[in-house]
Amino acid sequence: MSFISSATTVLATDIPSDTGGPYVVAAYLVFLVLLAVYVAIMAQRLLKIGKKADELAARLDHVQNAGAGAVQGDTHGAHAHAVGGTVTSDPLAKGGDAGAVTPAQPTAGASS
Amino acid sequence: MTVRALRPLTILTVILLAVGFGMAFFYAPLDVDQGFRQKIFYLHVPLGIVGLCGFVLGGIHGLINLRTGSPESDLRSYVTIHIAQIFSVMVLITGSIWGRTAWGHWWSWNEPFLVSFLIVFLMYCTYQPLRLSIDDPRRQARAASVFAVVAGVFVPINFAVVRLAAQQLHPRTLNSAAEGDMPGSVLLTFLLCFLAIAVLYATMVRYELLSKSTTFRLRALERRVGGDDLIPRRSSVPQA
Repeated sequence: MSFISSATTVLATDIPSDTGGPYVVAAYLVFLVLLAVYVAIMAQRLLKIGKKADELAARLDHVQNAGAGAVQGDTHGAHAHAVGGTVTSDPLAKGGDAGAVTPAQPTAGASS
Repeated sequence: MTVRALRPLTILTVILLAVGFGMAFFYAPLDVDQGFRQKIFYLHVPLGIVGLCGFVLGGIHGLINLRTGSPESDLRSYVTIHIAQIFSVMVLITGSIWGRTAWGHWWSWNEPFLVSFLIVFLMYCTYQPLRLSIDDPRRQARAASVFAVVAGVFVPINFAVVRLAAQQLHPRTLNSAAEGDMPGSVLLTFLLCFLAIAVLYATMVRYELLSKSTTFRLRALERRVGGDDLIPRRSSVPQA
């Protein structure tokens, strides 16, 4: 606060008021304020982009995990079929056919 | 282009602005006629010149878009005009402040320089609504490019005609024949401030381009993943 008050005092004493000193300061301040507003808008926009990118990354992770789970299930079922064993706990196997290779589920629904 | 690549340009802009304005206040001598109020000249005139050049640059990019149909040139045209509009607002405000201290009025309707600049500014204020009024992105780009070219040609012609007009209130800067050569220190300070403002313009354009292109890439990714943003929203911003 003391810095601001001393700076104000210096400005008040050094800037000539008879030839538009305060107006000159106002003109430069307007420039700086508009520039600051622009920088703030740009920063806000970048934050929004960053947030969107994070959301997208999380969504992609979800999609990849779901895909990996499906592939793992498929390979498990295929292996059981190859060795002639019966698999009862495979959630992807339909109608008791343990060897049936179920295609990976579509990933579009993962967005919700 | 990344934010990291823009860092040197940003630092250069800050340094040039600080040095330029520092020289304007502490190095350049006080004007005999105008005194301290002449310091606005180091801000107002470069903003005006760079702003008008930005409009012309927008026209050049518009012309490239009309010839090649490249969406990138449409985006460049949009961004250069957008930043030039911001500079024009600053020119009008700083000019009004100078007018208030020099003439005692914020505005003079009898001065061709002021009115012509206002006309140019208002003309470019119709640019975004024009874009927004057209849904089809290709038609939007074409109409906006035609506007940018025509208006970009109008700007220098308008400036030259007004400069040739009889002087009333607004001083004709950089007119050595009529008002005598500028002292070396004043010219040096002016050139440095001009360079600083020009680099500031380039920096703002690059940031804006980066921001827009990153947003487009994100939207494209969202569409690929199958997100909510499947239908492009209506916008005045070019959909590159």
